[in-house]
Amino acid sequence: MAKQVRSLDPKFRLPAQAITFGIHRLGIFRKLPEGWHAEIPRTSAVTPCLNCQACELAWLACPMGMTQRYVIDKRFPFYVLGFLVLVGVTVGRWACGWLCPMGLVLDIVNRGSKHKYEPPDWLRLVKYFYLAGLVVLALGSGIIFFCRYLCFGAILGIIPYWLTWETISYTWLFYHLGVFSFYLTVSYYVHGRAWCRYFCPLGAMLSLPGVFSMVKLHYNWMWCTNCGLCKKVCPMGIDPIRTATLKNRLECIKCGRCVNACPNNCLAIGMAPLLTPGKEEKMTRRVPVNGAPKLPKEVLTEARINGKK
Amino acid sequence: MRLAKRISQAALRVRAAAVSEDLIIRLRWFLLLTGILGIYIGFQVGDDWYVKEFATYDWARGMGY
Repeated sequence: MAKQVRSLDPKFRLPAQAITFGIHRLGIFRKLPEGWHAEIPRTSAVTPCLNCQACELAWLACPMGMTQRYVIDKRFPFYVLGFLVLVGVTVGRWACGWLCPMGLVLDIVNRGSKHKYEPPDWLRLVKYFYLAGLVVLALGSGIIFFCRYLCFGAILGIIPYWLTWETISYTWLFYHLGVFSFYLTVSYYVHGRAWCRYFCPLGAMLSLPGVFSMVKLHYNWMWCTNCGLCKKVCPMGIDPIRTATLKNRLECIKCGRCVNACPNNCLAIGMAPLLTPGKEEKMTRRVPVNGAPKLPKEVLTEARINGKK
Repeated sequence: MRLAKRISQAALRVRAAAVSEDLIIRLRWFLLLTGILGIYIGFQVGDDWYVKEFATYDWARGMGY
């Protein structure tokens, strides 16, 4: 019998996202009246989320912005890369699902959308080209090119800056509103989180060490009726029960929507084993690569009736 | 055409391949130590934890706004 995993409850995800959104904007204390003015520097440390550091209220640096700055200064970003590898190996893309402020925006958009279009899978490679392009374009142009022209999150920097100083031209304001609207429209018409799936360079950066993430989705195939509900609700368009595949390891943001949707509680978000399992333990952990065998309709219906949800 | 088909089939095989749990566990520890080493070198070589010129840098101006 597979071991029961202590799961992280997905009902805490929205509060976690909202709190993180607030934490990223703690630089608001810089804006308090004279006497209350806190000495909060800009970009004190790096955050594992897409968070525009051009924002007047930001106090944590975006790893993508910092990487470009290092590249322009011809310095190797030891700290940023070390930090991202560490985050990737410990929580992986869990940070995208539970902490990222732009993820919160996309989740809200997806709640209001009924469109279910699934673009071709090869489009997922675009985010890796964005990641490589981010470095090449910064090197070639000598400016923070990606943030300036292509980033979905730049709007979080532009609007507070425009509201407080009003020194940004309308051209930039409308340009970034256009970029933001473009990504938002794509996300509205596509099922799930289009930006995270196809474009986000930070997601691409976290997904590579995230293959070895300590936080992972656990699947108990013994209770699974292969009903496909988890696949239907997944915002990243993956099949959650194929936990061992490279695609799942690269793409899963551990948001827990599949955990909530499963009628038989077969899925859980929890810690991965930290030590190599013994032979006996390996046998009990063996999971069919393609999930549980497809069962007849009557069995599925019965399982749904008997299910805990 | 045949080459393209072979490449796409190989890509499909890699994508659907199940990664061994043992390998994952070993590489996880290796990457964990690499990440810590990266941050340590960042501290030692670049004093990067709090990069003063980045902290006082006006990012919006740097982006040309």
